[in-house]
Amino acid sequence: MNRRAVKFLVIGGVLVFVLLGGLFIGYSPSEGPGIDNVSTSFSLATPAFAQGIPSGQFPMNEAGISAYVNTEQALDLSKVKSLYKVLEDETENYLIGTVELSGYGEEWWPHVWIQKSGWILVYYTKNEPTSRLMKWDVIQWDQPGFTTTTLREVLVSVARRLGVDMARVESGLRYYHWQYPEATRMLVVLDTTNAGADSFQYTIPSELTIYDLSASHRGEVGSNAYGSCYSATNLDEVKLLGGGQGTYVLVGQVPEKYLLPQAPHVVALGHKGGWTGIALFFLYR
Amino acid sequence: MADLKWILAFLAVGVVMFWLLLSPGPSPNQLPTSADIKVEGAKVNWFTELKFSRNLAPALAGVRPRIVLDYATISAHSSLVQSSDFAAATGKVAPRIMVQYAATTATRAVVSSQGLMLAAANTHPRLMLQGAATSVINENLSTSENLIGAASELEPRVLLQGVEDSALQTTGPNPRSLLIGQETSPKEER
Repeated sequence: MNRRAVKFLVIGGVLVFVLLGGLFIGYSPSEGPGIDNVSTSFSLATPAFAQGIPSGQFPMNEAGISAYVNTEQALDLSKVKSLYKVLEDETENYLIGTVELSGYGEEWWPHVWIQKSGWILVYYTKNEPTSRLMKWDVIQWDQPGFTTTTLREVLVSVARRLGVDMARVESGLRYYHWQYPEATRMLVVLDTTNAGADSFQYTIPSELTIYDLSASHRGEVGSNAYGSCYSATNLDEVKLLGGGQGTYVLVGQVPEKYLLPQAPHVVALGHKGGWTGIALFFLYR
Repeated sequence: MADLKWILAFLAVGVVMFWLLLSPGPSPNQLPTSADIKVEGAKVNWFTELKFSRNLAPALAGVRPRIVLDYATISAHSSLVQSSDFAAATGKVAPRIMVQYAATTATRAVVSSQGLMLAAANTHPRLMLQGAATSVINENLSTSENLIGAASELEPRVLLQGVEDSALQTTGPNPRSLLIGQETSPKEER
């Protein structure tokens, strides 16, 4: 092969790759659910829904944290009717009620609204803390990776029953809190320990507006003859959540005084037996 | 030999470019927090944008109101259901569920409330009470003329839900059809 021709081929190939690379800059195929890949919609603009849905109307009048997806296909509602533990309302266009979260008690079962045109909205009621999202049963103390949420699990199970394109569900799933329309970001800090004690601290910059902070505490401490096993989470040396022996999850709101900006707030875990963990859910913009 | 070097170089550049194109971007689990909430001693484990889709709004607009009281506290239940305002309020919104997960003392107040029955008669809820405690059902519901009367008139899809077997055994003839959430008319079954 002519050496000049080979050089031309190599340089041309490099140029093609560079151009292709330029086209794909900013595109990340592995971004997870809830992250909008469209750069123009990554803005922090106030959601427009407040202009269209009165506060006394569904779902603002009852919903809190939610996960939703538009499957963009017609849904056969009869396929999922049997999934409902309580079918609160049924019309030609939608179903609404509570659906079981497998392995969890009733207080963890979210409401599910399925619209015939393709929408699936899974939510906890507005009185429930956002930290109900935390799904501890998929987490080990030494592998505290946040891989899924309670709402996502129910949404996925409903979508599977409906027979929709699961790739579309995974890529199109979004989270939203109906009581905090101004909040555009959710951040989860998760810490676990089996060493008896651990701590971390968070500091909120003054330029951020925090709308909500809630916590999910996990105790998997077993039991002993003395009944001395326990787990607890303290915030700035005041007990936030905690329990005795056994395995449990406790959720709750974090008081506003722990949202003060510019001051470090110390979160301390303590336990006897097994392991314990805490997850903090910040909603802010 | 020189040609082979060029070809190898070409292949190497290609591999690098493909790697750059296909490698994952910054994971939402590992976003830098320098301009965000600062965390020391634990890693930020997950981050996501909260989004509302404008396209969702029209679909949501068609959903009917359903719940008047949901997870209210005991004292709230007691005061609300005994208020004449409650009946008026429910008459306007036509709820599908009147009371959900009422605590024992609250449920006792609810089922003995003339106001609730009046509200139910006006609004035809699908589900009147959910999660009522067994003792309340034994004490009040099975003997409540008001409730039975309301059920006969309203034909709710679910009159009570979450009751225990012991309650079912003491609530009179053919209670299951009245108490369990079947898609039947209590009026017809009784």
